Parts: sequence; C-alpha cells; structure tokens
Amino acid sequence: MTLHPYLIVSAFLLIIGIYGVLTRRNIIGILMSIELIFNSVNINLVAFNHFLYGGNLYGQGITIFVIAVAAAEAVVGLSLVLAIYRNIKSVYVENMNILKG
Amino acid sequence: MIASIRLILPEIFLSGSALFLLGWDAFIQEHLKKWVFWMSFFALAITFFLLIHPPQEGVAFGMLVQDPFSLFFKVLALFSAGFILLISREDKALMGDYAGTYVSLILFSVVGTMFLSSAKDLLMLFLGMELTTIPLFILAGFLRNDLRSSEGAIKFFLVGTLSTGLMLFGISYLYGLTGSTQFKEIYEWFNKTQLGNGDLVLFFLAILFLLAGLGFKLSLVPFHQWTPDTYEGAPTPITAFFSVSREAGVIVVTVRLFSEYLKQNQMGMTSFFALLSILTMTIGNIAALRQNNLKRLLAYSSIAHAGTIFIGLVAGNRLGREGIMLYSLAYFLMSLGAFSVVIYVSRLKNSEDISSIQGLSKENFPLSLMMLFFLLSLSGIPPFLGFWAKFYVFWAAIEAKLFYLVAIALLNAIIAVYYYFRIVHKMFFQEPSYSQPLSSRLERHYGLEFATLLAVSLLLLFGIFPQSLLSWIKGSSVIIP
Repeated sequence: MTLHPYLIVSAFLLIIGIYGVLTRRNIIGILMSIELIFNSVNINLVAFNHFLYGGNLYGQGITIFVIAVAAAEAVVGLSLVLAIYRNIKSVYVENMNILKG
Repeated sequence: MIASIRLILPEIFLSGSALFLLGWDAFIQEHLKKWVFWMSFFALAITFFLLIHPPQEGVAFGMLVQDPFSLFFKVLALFSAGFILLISREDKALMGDYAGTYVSLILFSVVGTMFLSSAKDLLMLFLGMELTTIPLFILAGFLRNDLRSSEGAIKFFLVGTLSTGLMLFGISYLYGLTGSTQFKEIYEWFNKTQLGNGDLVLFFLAILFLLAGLGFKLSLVPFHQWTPDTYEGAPTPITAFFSVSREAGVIVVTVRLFSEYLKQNQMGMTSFFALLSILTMTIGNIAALRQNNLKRLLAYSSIAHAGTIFIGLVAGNRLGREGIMLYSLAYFLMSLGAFSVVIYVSRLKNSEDISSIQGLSKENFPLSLMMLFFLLSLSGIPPFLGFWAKFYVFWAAIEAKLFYLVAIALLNAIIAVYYYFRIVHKMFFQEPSYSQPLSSRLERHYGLEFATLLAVSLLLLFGIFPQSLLSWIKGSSVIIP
C-alpha cells in the first residue's frame, strides 16, 4: 500500500462532508457531514504519520486530540438541537428564520 | 518540566477554578449561590497576579510561548471577563439559578483565549480555538426558552464546526508536507526547501483551509454571515464578550503564524490579506448602514473593526503589532461600553430596536452622554482612544507602503461616521417615543453602571494622556519566535 489511496479516500470524505453540509436541511444530517470532515482529517494525519514520518507518533497523537474535541463538539451541538426542538418541534433549518441573516 | 508548568500556572489555576465553580453550582445549597460572582472575581484576580508577578518569559512544553506580546493579550482577556461579569451581575436570567455554569463557561473561554495568545504550534492553535469557541456555543444559547438565542447559537455552531473541520484539514496537509506543526519549522521548510509546483499548490491550499478557520473566528468577510444573527440572538452581555474575547486570541495567533510570510511578501500574500481586510471593512460598514436593531448594528460595526485591525497584520511590521495591541484595547473598552449602554436601555424599555434609544438625552442625560463618547471613540474621533488606535494602525500601513489600503480604510471610517451619528441624532435631536414608557420599577444596576463609568473614564484618560499607555505597548510588542 502507498500513501495515495489514503489521501484520495480522505479527499472524497471531505468533499462528501462539504456537500452534505451545504445541501442537508436536517441539522442532524449536517452534524453527521461535519463528522465526516473530521474523520477525513484523521485519516490524513494517520496516513501521513505512517508513510512519511514513521519515526514518531506525532500525527497519531494529534488524531486523539481531534477525536476528543469532535466528541465534545457533538455533545454541544446535539444539546443545542434539543433546545431548538423543544421550542419549535422541528430540526429543519428552513424553520429557523426568526433572525434574518 | 517544572519551569514549563510554572509558565502555564495562570492557565492551570484559572481552569481549576472554573471547574470548581461548575461543581459549586451542582452541589451547593441555594443561599450560597450569590457568592459565585465574588469567587469568580477572586479567581480572575489571582490569575492576574500569577501572570504579572513576576512576568515570565520562555517556552512551555515547546508549544506555548510566553512573551510580553502574549502577556498583554492575556491581561486583556482577563479584564474583559471581569467586565462581562460586572455587566451581567444583575441579570436574573444569566446570574440566577445557573450562575456557576455561566461564570465557569466564561472562565473556560478565557483560558482558551490565553492558550491561543501564546500558541506557537498548530495543535495548540486548534485546541485553544476550540476551548475558546465551545463555551461560546453554549453561552450564545444560554437562554434556553428564548428561540432567538437558540437559533443564533445553532447558526454559530454549524458555521463554527464546519470551519474548524476545514482548518483541521489544512493542518493535516501542513503536517504531511513539513512533518511538523511548529509555526517556525513550517516557515523554515517553506524558506529552505526547493519547492516543486505540486508542493506549492498543496501548501497554498493548506493555508487557505487554515484561513477559513481563522477567518471564521475573526468574522472576516466570506465567513461573517453568522455574526449578526448570533449577536442579535445571544444574551447581550455575551454579545459584548463575543466582540472582544473572540478577536484577541485569534489575532495574536494569526500574527505569530503569518507575520514572517507577510514581512517578506511571500507568494503575494500581502495583497491577498489586504484584499480580505478591504472586503471585511467595506461589507461590514455598508451592511451596518441599514440596520435598525442596535445589536445588529454593533455586530456589523464589529465586523468592520475586525477588518481595520487586520490592517495592522497586513503591514507585518512591529508598528503594526503595536497598532493591533492598541486597537484591541481600545475596541475592548468602547465596544463593551456601547453594549453596556444598550443593555441598560433594553432593561428600561425591553427593546433593542434603534427607536428605543430615541430621545434618550431627555430621559437620561448622563447615559446618552456616555453613549456619545463611545460612539465618537468607535468612529475614531479625537481625543478618545479609538482615534489613537486607528492612527497607529494606519501609520503602520503607511510605513509598509500600503497607501491604497490606508485610503480605502479612511473612506470606510467616513462611512462608519454616518451610522454612528445616526444613533447620536436619534438620541439628542428626537423626542422620546412614549409608546414604550420607562418601566416603573427602576432597580439599581451597580455592576453595569460601574463598568460603563470605568470604560468611559479609561477611554478619555488614555485618549487625552496616551504617553504612558503607548510606552507600555511599545515595550510589550516583543515576540519570541
């Protein structure tokens, strides 16, 4: 195996993630797309570390931090979704239009 | 090891006390809750003492650099937290049942800003930025039963996490290219190696991704749409906190990351950053012209000010750094002051619309006078500190021979005067609108009044006698690479 297949998979994950964020109307769907982006980063870091800088575990160490922070963000995001759902009984972005942005 | 721990002792202490206050909220009886305010002040004071006595210099764990430049912004972050606690002290929705949670979230965000302002490593940049932002997500949606608060928070959250993801993608490519996440080693790699075209394209792509994350936090123009909504929805003290703490840490880390490239004008980066700054100023100012909600107006004006601060970064010289410091301090005082007045008015009239401030001079003359001072300072008119801040930033750009940038910034300053003086006109030359009568139960707001008075007196004091402040800033603009 070489580095390139990993990079191609992660680039695809990134593109799917961005596409999902831009087209999904359900907030949960957007959250899942963002998780895809975070995971493409993880694949990148681990692959770079393994194939190019095998002497240390620096890239893999960063991955652990990324996973932990992504989990913390997901917790906050889901609780915000719950707060909105209690108010308007909907998780669709087109129903969030009180503030004209 | 011990030396490194001593260097980050203030941060350790502050996060410890934030955890303590969080626990205090959960386990302590009702009647003890009023002590949360004083305890948080005490924690901030001890952190300040640990920071400045004696001021430390050096590098902790190879990732966090302590120098006079970061010290300045850390002190700024601590003081902004103190101000926010003061102005939200009498707010029942914030400092009521969940006071401990509220205070601890603010303290966590300040710890993040402190880490960010001394980060010299991409990993620390990422962690500091998340530690600053995640508490802000929660704080923006703190009024759980208010739909506007939740909606602003969710918009902020979605844009925020997306940009964090993009920034991380950039970081992963920088790591892949250089094998390091240290700012310095990345710059050395960029300078020394004979780079092929493919490497350069990847490097530039990575920098663009990284800028997406930083630009979101600074609300630079392609990433600014969340700002007005979040500012309007969030509880007003938090809006004031947004406009200050968010900027301070990120601008420092951007300076550390990019100032070397900008000094040498690598890859045309100077004109690229100048374009970002121009777009941010112009779009912020033009959008602010037709806002009728005071918080939205101040939000757009904060976007414009972010663009102006960015000029100091584009200049890339030491004078630019001094301009950034002075501007951050001035913006901290005048924006917090303006938001305090908005809070005061909205507590009296239950409205943040621009008509609520109509005829304020006839109802409460001192308040309208203070608002006038803040607005004069925001539009950069002497003798207030806002003038010196603009002056320094422009001076730095002239020294770097960026004349077109200064010209456009001056035009923007003129546009800004229009919408600030629209508020002044409403306050002084129109009759009060009696459709929204002053609420009958007037409580005293000691914290809010004290904070506003302090802000206005500091603005005037530093504006008229800037010498001591300027020499302090000159001394603190040293950065350890």
